[in-house]
Amino acid sequence: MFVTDPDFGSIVDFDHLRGSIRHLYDALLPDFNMHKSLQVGTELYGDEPDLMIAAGASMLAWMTIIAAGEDEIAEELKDSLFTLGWTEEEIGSDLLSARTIATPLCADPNCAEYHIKGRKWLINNSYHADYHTIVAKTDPHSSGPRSLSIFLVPQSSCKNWQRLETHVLSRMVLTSFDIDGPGRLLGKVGHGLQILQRMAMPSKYQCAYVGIKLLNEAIPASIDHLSKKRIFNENPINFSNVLRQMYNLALQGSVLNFIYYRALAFSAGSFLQFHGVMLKSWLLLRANELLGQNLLVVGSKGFLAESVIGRNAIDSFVLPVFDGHYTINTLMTAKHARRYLGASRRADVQQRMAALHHGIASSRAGDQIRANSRRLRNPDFFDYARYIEDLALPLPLDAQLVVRAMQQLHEELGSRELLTDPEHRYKLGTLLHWMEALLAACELWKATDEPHFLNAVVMQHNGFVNQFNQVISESALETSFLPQMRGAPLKINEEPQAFLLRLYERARQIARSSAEPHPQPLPNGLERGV
Amino acid sequence: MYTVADPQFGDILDYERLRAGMMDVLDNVYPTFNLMGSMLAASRHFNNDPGYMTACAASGLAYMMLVAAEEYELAAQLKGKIFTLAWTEEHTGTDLLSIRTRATPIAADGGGKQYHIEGEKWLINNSWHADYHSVLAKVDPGATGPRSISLFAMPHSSTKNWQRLETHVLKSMVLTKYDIDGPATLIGQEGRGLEILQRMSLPSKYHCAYMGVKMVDDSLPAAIEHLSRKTIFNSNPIQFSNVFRQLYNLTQQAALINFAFFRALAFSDSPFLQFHGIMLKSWLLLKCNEILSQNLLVTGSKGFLKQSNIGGNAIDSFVYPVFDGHYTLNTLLTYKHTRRYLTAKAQGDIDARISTLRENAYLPREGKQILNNSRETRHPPFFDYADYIKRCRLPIPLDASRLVGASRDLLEAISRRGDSNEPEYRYKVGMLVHNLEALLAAVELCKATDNNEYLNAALMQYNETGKLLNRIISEGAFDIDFIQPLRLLPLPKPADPRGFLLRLLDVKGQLRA
Repeated sequence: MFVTDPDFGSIVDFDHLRGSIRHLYDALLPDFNMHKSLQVGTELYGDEPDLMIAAGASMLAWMTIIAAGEDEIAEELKDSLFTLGWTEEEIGSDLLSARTIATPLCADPNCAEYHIKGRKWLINNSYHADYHTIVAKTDPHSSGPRSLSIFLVPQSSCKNWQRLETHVLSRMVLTSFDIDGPGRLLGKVGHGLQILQRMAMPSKYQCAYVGIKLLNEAIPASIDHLSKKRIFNENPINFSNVLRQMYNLALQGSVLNFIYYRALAFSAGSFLQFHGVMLKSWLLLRANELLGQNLLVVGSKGFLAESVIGRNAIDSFVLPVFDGHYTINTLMTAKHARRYLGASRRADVQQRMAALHHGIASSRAGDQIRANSRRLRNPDFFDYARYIEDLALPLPLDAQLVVRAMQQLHEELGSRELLTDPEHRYKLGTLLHWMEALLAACELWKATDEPHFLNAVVMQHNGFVNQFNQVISESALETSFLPQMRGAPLKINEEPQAFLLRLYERARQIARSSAEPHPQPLPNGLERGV
Repeated sequence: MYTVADPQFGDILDYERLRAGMMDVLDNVYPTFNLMGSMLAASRHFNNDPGYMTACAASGLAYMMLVAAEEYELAAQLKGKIFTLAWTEEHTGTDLLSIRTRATPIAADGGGKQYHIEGEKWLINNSWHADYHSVLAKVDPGATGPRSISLFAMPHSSTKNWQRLETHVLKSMVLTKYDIDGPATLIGQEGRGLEILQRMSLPSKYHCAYMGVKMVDDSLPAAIEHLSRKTIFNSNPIQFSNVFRQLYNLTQQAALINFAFFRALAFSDSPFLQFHGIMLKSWLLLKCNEILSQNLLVTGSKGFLKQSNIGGNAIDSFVYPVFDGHYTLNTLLTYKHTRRYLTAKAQGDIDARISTLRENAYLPREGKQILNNSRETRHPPFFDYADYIKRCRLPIPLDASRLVGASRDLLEAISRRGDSNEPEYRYKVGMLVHNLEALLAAVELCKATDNNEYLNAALMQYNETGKLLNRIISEGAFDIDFIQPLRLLPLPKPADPRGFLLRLLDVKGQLRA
């Protein structure tokens, strides 16, 4: 999986990656099966984040070709490695400021051949790739949403690679490099942003999946370590403070797993964008927090290079940031506030539970890369509080109060003309994510009937309340603060290790029971993840 | 910072450079002890590079054990050598009373101080390059009491079979596990190892916390500068209100961190040495890690480049709350003070404290922290917390008695449930005391600088403490009212956000202004 390169040291074995990546692409073309792509990715590269992300970057770049409607090219290049050649050093996520220029090579208005010139920065796989999907402008002075186009650029048009070493995922090879050569237009001129946005919808799920994978390795590893180690003549897990820390981490990790699979289950419908944006920001930030805490609880052993506990905590920092900063994603959610809070449709509990239990199978037919963007901008929201009441939780959770308080906050922000202010739009987006997390935790309990998940509901509620109160406090708003809820004290009758692992597994079983296909045999000559 | 390409280990610290800088640092350890002086000397030589600073600290602390044991002759003789803290073994972690390394008196020495040591040590910094090791071992392998451990100064020639243990953090340091089989000299008296270690460990908590503070001091300005220079959507990110809000919150917390640290130093040559030191090693270092992590996430891609200390410090900062004493154990120690802390009646002398802070907080001074008296440090002269804060008369409606009242109610409720000895609650209550003390520090920050821009730091810390209390109440389902947050003062809208934030970070400058 890794090789020692004379220039770069220990790096991903890109030849191996090139030799196997077709199987990943096959999951997405001719039929776009997002879930299968994740599975194949896990089978092939699952245990090594460097490899997973390198393969993921190539897959997303290749997906851009499909998003541009150029399936034939995508099919033809299934044995190639790709890069996401978007960003430049000066611009970060602000792609409309890209300076790379594309000049048509013929006068024909349908000309697809261009000369591309510019410099890209911090591009994964770029020294080893066969092709680059490059964001460039045909008119260097334009800056509107129609100013960008996407080009397929062969490696031969690139030069002057300079490796950029990073603190995370150090076996990937990212470079900055010059482009000065021919490239082929993908889709239409000026449709670059639209194509990227189309590709970005499923990509958020693929990115968040890596976060979930990191959690699912590191949290059970900690539970195991703390159950084996001896300190003060005892296993640390038997100390109530350690058990409490791991219990909270296991509950929160369960919620994140469930939120992920729940989003996947509903990804064929109008929620694709709403859930995806939450995964890329809220979920990946929470995963990073959990992994950080998990490392701190474990202590020294987690810091050894051989431990996934430290590795995953460190690598998880990059996920909320790359390919679209979490802030920008959260701002997108703020746009839904009025509809989210004002929806009156009564959702059917049975129907949603059935979707959750059988959902991943239905995500297969989603064709998420060709989702209708108008539909995604208006997800089929439902009456939040009514639905939670219908779930009949044995908890004094006042969902009406939550919605009313949010409406009041929204109104006050409006009356103070703060609804267009980025600080408050960001906060509003974050609050909606927390509300949705609370809703998901309620569904987790309903779907599993596990009493401990009621504490997960309380944790999401209090997480929401903390965030809500912080918004009021920081802007000294008149909207009233919300009160916290009490959970149930931690009392268990099982052996701690078995208890925690059982709890953690319970949330993941939803995904399994909902038709996660069995591992498939891999073609000859391919290894599974180490 | 500068590393060398070692044929065996790859890019590592230049240990000769470390050795060269050590002497200046140790001049502040022996013959005179100057806690802050030793830190400033390390900063001067190693430019706050976490790898060098940590290796220097490990060596310096191991050497400090000679001084803590009052072995001045040896201290004079071995000054400037590279030392290791050879305490832990793979199976024991923080539980030093379970070590298996054995010390056998060398008969020919006739009851003197020479012993033969045999055992294995694990995850020991500097251990391949060291000249000497401060080794913990047992003379009686069957003993497990607090007097079962002795301390030895052991030359490198008594060690062998080093195996490097690579880590995810501070990768240019060289940690190994290795065997010990050879002679060493007893330090202090037999059975007094733990006592010496504890004496050394009080000032050492300040050294360790200094690393966190310096990382924050380096990384936050770096992020502010970057977000003030970068152009995105035709503007500098710092001009966007969401980015400014995030940086403002981080800046307030970082200012409090910096002040809390130097405040603790100013009061360190007193019975508060242990109480503050423990808070630094747990609350402060965990807080540094949180701040640095958020700082990296706000900054985004640039912070991940190897050349950026924004990412490097965030990653490295995970190790400080954990090594040389896990933050949990430190927090459990604070629990023991809780009742005295919450019920103290003495009136704190505001003028005396504020003038100590203004004069001493950033001034290196000689002290006796290494010869601290453990009976005194177990009983710091606490004073009436809420009364003190009230008399500070900050122009904000901060009612500390509300927090003290809820904390006392909580203690009672835990006790009624028979859970007072549960580590879960001892740990949580310890954290609560740390947060209360951080609020006191924030109040003193406002008072000592006389700068109302820090009032939000106090309000934020009040809310943090409230959140923690609420979490304890919620998780334990206690019948105690939740704490309502306070509203902050409006977010400033400075014309020059960069300059404004950098000024707020410069607490020392504000104190001197």
